Amino acid sequence: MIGGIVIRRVLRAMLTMFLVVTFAFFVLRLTGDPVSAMMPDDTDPAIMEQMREDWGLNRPLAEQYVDYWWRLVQGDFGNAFRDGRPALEIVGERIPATLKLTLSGFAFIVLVGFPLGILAAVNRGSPMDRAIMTISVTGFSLPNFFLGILLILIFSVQLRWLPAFGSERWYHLLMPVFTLGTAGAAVIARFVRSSMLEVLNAPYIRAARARGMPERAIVWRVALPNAAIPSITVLGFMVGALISGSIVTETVFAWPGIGRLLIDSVAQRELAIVQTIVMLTALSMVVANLTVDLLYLVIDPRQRYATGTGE
Amino acid sequence: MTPSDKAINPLIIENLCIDLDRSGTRIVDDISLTVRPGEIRGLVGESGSGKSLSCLAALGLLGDGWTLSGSIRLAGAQTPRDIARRRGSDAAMIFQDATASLNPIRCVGHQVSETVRRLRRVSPHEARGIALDLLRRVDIPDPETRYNAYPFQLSGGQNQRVMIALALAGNPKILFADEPTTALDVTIQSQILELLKSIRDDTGMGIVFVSHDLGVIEEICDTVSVMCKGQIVESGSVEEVMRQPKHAYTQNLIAAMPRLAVAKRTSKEVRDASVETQQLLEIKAASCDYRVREGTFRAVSEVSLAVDDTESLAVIGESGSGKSTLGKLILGIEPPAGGEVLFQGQPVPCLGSAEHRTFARSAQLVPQNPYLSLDPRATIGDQIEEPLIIHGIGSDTERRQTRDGLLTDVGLHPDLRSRYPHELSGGQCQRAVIARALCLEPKLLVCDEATASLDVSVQARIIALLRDLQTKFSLSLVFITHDLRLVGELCQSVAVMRGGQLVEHGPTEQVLTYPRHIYTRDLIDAVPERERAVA
Amino acid sequence: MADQTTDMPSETPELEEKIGVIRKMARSPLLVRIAFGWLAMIFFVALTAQWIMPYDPESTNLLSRLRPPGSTDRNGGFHLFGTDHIGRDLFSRLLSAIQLTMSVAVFGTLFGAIVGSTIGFVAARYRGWIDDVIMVLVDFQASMPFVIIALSVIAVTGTGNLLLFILLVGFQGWERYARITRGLTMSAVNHGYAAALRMLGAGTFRVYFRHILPNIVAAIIVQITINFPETVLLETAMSFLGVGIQPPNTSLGNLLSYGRDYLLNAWWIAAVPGFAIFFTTLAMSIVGDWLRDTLDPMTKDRR
Repeated sequence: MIGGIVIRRVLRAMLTMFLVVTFAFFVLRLTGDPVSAMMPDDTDPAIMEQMREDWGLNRPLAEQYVDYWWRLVQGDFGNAFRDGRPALEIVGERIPATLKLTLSGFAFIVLVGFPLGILAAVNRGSPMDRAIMTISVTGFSLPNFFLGILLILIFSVQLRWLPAFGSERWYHLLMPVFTLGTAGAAVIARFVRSSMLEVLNAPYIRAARARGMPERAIVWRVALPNAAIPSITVLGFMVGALISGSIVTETVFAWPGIGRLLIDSVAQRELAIVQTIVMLTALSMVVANLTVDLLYLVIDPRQRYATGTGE
Repeated sequence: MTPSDKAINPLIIENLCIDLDRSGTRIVDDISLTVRPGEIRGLVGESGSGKSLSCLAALGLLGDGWTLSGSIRLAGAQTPRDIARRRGSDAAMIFQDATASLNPIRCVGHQVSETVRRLRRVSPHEARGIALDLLRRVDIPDPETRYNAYPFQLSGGQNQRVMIALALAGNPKILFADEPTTALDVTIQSQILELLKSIRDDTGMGIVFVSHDLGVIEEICDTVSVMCKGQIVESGSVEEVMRQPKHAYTQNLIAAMPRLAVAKRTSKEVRDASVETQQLLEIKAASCDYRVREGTFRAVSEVSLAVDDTESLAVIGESGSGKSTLGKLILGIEPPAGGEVLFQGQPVPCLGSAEHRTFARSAQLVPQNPYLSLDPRATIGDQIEEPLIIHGIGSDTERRQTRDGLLTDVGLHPDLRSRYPHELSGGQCQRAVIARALCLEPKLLVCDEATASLDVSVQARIIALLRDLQTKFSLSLVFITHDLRLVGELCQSVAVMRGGQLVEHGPTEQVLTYPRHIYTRDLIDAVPERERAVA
Repeated sequence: MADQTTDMPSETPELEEKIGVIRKMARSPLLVRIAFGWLAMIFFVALTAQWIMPYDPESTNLLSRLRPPGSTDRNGGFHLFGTDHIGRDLFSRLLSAIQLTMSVAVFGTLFGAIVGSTIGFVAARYRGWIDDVIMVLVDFQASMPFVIIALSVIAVTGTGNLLLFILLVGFQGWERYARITRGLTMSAVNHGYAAALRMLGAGTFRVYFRHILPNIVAAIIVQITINFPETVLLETAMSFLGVGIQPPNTSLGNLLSYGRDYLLNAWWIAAVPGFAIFFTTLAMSIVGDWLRDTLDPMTKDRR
């Protein structure tokens, strides 16, 4: 039974990947002629024709589509226009920097968001709760590009505590991670709070109180595990938010990662690189969602034993 | 435990008042209540009478926002701190929705053994043994396997048994049972009531049994206190209160209480005999399937029934018996998978078809929850009038007259037409729904648990209303219910369903007095009532 | 879509509700009132920018570059927020940027709300394979960061197409409208008054447009208040990154990105548009939260 659910989830992940590839194909091929889009207007028509021939743009669409798939499967994502290197290689060089930033951001979100949310829920209505919720609304509304600039203004320009740019030392991470993680931590704090409050109002909490379970045990051993389950979904969404956030953060702090590469490539219309990054993002999102789904199976018995006997 | 402890009454409440801080209203007004060891004290009243609140207050479980005065002595404890310490060990509580009252992500066995460990201070291994014993004590079948089951894998009745096992973990002197059987089927209800009685006999604990159902109270309780608007209006032994109610409210409550008896139907009987009746509805071996993940599920299986003009038929069954699906078949909401459903000799058309529009003028539905079946953003009057507009009947003035006439017919003041559903009570809304259903002057009214969500006294009035309307509009009724006691008042014939099949069908008097099928007999035996009308 | 409410039989309750909202607004917390005030001001500016700007936002004056806020230039011109690196009046530029940002956000949000809700409505109405396809797309959208999709479209089409950009930005969040509308419509159809109406012989149009739509409008409005600040953030972020609004059009994001190059000697060029964005999204979130608590159909209509 569990095997069936896992297979269904994996199939869904594959469906998403399929849609991404199809989306990329159609956006690239149908919204215009990539050759004339990429080349300056005064290029020799013969060269353009040659390029169309090279890229197989003159062939039927279905054939191109199959061919497109075939290349992707072989790891051929096309070459960059400017220097002719494989796009996958160019993107690959940038992965470590982005990974360092996003993983730290993820840790920041979890380590800041969860405790704040729990603290607010347990002290509901107190000044602490109100303070945390105010911080959360502020953090959520603060545009990350402006937050980054503010941090640079305060800590680099005014106080001169931290360098505005650089990515080699651990302290280089501080401002980018804070910029990247604040909004996510604010969302998680809010979500954990409302999820906890909902659980704390559940009949089984009242029943646990009625049989004399100590309040600490109720919060930590009954309420928290129940409240954490839906929070996992939101953590899954956070992967997407981190990827979008890293685009801005890397631009603001001149971080040598994928996000900045993407923006540069969009501006220069390096379609091969853009497409590689889109696939990579989709892959990480699919993996994140799959992880969330499987985690659900592990921690939520209701999912594990969900059978098909009707609604 | 010293011997003198036994003499102490486990619960003494004196002059308890509970106020809601936000609005300053008094919800519980000066109640006093004593429970002796081994006594089962009923606390009966309609919704909002303050009975559950009093129990929560006695256990010190009311949160912020409430102000209490008076004195509570729970197993000898008086201060809030002491009372909190008695929870679990000396006092326990079970609730209406047992499934929701268990931690959804832990095995029931773990929940019991964890509580045993905490309350009896034993090793995990011993706790497991005791937990299994407790599960056995509450008649959980195959406790070794059920130990590792999650609440969602057990039925409501089994979860209530687990709740009782949890309550027994600390050997309590007093148990608060807040409507513990209300959400359960009748047969399960009677088993749980038996279980509670036998536990009381074994342990000698006192029980406060909260219920809105006088029948249940009569069945299980030794003494009863009647609550009305936050006050205890009458107290005494169950016999006393039931036989000679002193307070007017109690008298009304008992009068409204449905009885397993066949009402004397004078005028109707006469008419039945004199007028040649015609068959209105005929169900011929009809089945209905629902699609589920693995194939189909047969909700109704080859049921054959007939309803005559102006006849009223009760369809009785427990949850999952297919009684509601039968109603949907009759109304064309679900198409039959096999067999036929004929209305006036014609097959019932499928919902959504043009023929169904015409059919809808002759057959209508009164569903269970009146709030859900009314548009929250349209006035009562507009909604009653709407069917006439849909079918293009009458001019504006005529429609308004019909609407006001119907409002009067169902016992609502015509001024209520400009109100919105949330401004009316549940009973008033159900009357409005009935008025809307009658607007097209149908021949057949299908009532699907139409009184199940209403208070007893309101329920009695709605049933009386249906009876009047039936005569006045020459209606046929299909009255779908889980409550056998409602049948005698209203219906000439009864159909009993179980697991999608029709197990018995016949005149009400015959079915209730001489049930042929064993399941019908079980159902009748399970009806909570001390004296059987049949006996 | 807006005038569907006009001949509704439920006109009075909505009117009553609106009056109720205004009454509640008057009693709302100070913070909410401040937020309303800020938004009112922003919308006022967006509507009247060209008449209230003191200078032409594009007119350069190389003699008075990088003037700090509150300074006066050589011609005696007062600059409330100072001037930028080529001597343009920052206050005037701010007003015109607010106008552009708010126009994009308003049109984009409305576009997304209408498209998304319609898709959800269609899914709930027709069910079957139409619903399946729509839900696969909704799931796909929910699992892809929208910025990435927007950027890949921009990469192909190129920057500078303002209408396309507005539609693209507005599309953000369509899947949430679709999901909410679909869910609420289906639950209404299955359990409640809609089933009762169908049983009474009411046609599709009456059930969906006269009864279900007015009942889910509140939820859609709440979703709009959540989506609006996100649309503002998406537009300004993309403009900030140089792949959104292109000069000579100027949004708050463009202003901020110019300011980035002068952080060391002219902090106000970045700070002024930055705080304008921040306060606007913050005000919208506060108002949205408050609206959700007061209007939420889940807490009000359910019993």
